[in-house]
Amino acid sequence: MDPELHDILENLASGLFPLDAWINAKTFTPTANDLPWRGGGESLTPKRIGAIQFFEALVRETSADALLIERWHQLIAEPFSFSTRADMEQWRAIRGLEPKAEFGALESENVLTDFEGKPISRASFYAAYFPLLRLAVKAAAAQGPIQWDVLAINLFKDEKDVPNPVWPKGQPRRSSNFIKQFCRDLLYAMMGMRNPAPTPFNYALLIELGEHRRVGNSYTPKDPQKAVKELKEVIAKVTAQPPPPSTPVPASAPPVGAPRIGSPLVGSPSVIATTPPKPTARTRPTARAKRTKRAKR
Amino acid sequence: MEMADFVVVGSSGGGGTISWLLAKAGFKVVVLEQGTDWGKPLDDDNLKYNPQPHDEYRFRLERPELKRRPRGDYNTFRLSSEQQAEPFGAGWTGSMLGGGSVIWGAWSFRALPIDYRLNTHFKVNNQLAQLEAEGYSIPDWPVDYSEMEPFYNVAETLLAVNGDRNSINKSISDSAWFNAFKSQRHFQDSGNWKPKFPFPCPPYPLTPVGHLIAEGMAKAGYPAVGLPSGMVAPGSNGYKTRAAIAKALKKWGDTDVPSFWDQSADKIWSERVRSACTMCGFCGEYLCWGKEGPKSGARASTLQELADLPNVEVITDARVFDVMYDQRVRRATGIRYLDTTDPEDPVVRVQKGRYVIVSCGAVQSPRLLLMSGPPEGLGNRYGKVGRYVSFHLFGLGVTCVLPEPFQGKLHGEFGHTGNTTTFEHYFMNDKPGDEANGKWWKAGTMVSTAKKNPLENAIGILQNKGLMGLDLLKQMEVYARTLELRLTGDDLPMESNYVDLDPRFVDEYGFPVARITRDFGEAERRMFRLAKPVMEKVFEPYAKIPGTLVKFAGGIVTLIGDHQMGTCRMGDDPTQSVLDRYCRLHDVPNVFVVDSSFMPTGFGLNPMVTVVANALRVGTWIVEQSKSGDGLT
Repeated sequence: MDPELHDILENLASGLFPLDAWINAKTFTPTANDLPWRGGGESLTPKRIGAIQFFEALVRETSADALLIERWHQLIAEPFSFSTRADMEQWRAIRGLEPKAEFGALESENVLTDFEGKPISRASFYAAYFPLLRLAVKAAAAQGPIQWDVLAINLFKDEKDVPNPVWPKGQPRRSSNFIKQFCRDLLYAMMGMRNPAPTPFNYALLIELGEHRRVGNSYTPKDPQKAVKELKEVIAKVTAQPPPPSTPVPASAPPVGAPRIGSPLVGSPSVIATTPPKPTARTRPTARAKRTKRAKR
Repeated sequence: MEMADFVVVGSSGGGGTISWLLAKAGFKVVVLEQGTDWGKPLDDDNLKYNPQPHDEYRFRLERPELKRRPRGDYNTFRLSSEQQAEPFGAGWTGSMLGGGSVIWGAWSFRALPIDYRLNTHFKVNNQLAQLEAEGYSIPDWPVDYSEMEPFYNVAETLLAVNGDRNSINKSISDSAWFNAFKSQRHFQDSGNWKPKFPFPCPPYPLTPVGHLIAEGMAKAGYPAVGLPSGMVAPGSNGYKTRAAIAKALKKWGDTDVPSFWDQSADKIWSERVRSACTMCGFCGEYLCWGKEGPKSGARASTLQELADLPNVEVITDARVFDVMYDQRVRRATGIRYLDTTDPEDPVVRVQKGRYVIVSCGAVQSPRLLLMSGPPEGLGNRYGKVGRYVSFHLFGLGVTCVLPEPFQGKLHGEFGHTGNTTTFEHYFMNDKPGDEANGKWWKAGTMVSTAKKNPLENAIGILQNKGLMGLDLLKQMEVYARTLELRLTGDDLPMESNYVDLDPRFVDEYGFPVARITRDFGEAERRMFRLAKPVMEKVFEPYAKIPGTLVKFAGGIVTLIGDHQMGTCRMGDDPTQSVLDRYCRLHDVPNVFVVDSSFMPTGFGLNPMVTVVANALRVGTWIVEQSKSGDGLT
């Protein structure tokens, strides 16, 4: 990705996830007291969390999907392409199976699809959408300084009746397809604990959500015991009953069992592997699966 | 191995257990697993465990090769035989060495004695006719709890189950249904209701979510108890399976001790010590890859032991597609499989064997049998292979969202998903408050459930609610103060629910995929109605807190896969069942099926302990038979 695209993605990510505004608006305050974005003068953005750096690596990492996709295209066209059974036609007939077969993995789930519903690798998907995004950003810039949060939200809106104001017209590739996938990948980047930002920025979103699970956590039975005690205190408080006698937990105590701020991420690779893994597939309920789910009585 | 005594297809709780027992008894065993061995990379490094599987996106959302449709494997689904089945995202089979026993939730119940006698029970209580009219087929098991009990004891030692036996017994005997039935003769005769064999590990620590549910249950009058689970106790010095087995051998019971078990524990098990659980929270649906796995399952126990034996071969990436069958003698002669070490270029291989043991899960086992042998499928002379599939009623439960002061206080990350349970609603009465005039219907176990997967939740909000920006972030906050109470509801067997070969859809290698036909019946709908108020009652104390939301959800008909049962029903009548009491095909006596397919009814609790216990029972019988003059047929 060139610097221009990199900047666009960083700005768009900030528009999608206005973290500072969210933190200012919410009431929950993490117990850790040395969070740089809370009173430390630093801003919290997807960029600071390492989201775009992770995203770029993710696109590279999953580029091997293209091999699997190619194979699946072949299977869609000819379901017995990779059959090792010479007598498949006869064998199916004997068992009362239809002579014409279909490869249906694509419809089941697991696959990123293009605008025509065909499987596509993450790299190919973004390669097709990035030029459109650049045009959309140019169009937005022509209207004045870009408000990235507004642009991000507008990209979700591409109903037929309400065409997106900046997305290139007449495009079969819809802006919402792009922005939803980008949003999913950013969520993974910010919550998957593989992002390359320094601690505590790598966990920032999880910390602000009150989520304590980390790769490498190690507890003893005393930790849940302590957490139950804290919980009882909250219950007593909200039910306006006097709390049971207990040692108060200092406000500066970190979340139970959470890695100490500044400690390395135990056992986690510090960078994303550069060797592409085996092709994999993603899970996503399809329209058909959703219809089936709705069909329950 | 050119010719094995036993070819075992599948390596989970059934296949992984029986292969160990048979190999330990001296048989030549070949185990074939369609997935790969995800534990392998650890052998050469210094990490305590492999952190890579602890990735919510890859191992829960992306569901790559190790789980759910590896390289194109999928199933199709429809609600009834009138519909066209379509590919869907459930009905999965754990595809890795250790199978589903690697990615299970670790909830470790043994079935209750009455579960083996449901036909008798409903007959005695004048409910059987109604259930049959509603389309159910509920047989008694051909074996009873007493026959299973010593194997349950051993199974619990292999699975390092933690818990407090006395509390479990009390939760059962304090339940209203128990007191309603306890004077009935068939109920008393169904088996030992108060087993004394202690769990091999002390109870798992109480978590905040478990505490909230325990308090709510106590106030509702439900006897709550710590959930038994297959994890080496946190804070312990590790787990010595051999020592635990020694205790089980001493408590064998009234029956004669079979020769395999009539030897010292050090002849049965190695000195291997398994590590204590660190409660890291990546267990249910994840892979706990401690080198000496704290989370139990075949990969952490029996398959480790197999590695020490010279008479066994474990072959991974081996997708069995045919049980070879010689019609002249009506016997299997081995299996054919695709060696998918290079999945782009699979190679057909043959493994010959004197006996074949199928253990691929209750969706894939019938698929394999139906693809094998005569046109109607192996062991399917009476059309029963694949029939009566049941899955438990997942999704049935109550969700409670607590207000903002609870943010970050639930600590859903501690250990596995469940923590507190109750047997109070193993049967539910349809006239609450007037139980004497009502009927008790089979339900299941309720379990506290922590919310562990914030990324999955966030992506769900994005996709399903269409929220973005600040709205998305605000909604994401809610997850960390949400908890659930779930009912693992018994999904009673119906002939109209079944697994067969999809006539149209095929997998990557051209083989027909499994087609699942399944709908809820009256018993399930009745359960949803009855469960709602009793489950909501647990949250009554919290519902009074301003800002709390409580929401009930019925079962989801397509949410299936984790517990799959009943497709090769065990029974004495060959026209009504697929397997005999020793899990052999009635039609082909040298083929066994030992995954949860064999279960005639599905309980209302996690089946893993029963699957392991049954594999031990069947394996023990094989060893005894082969030593006796009768031999195996």
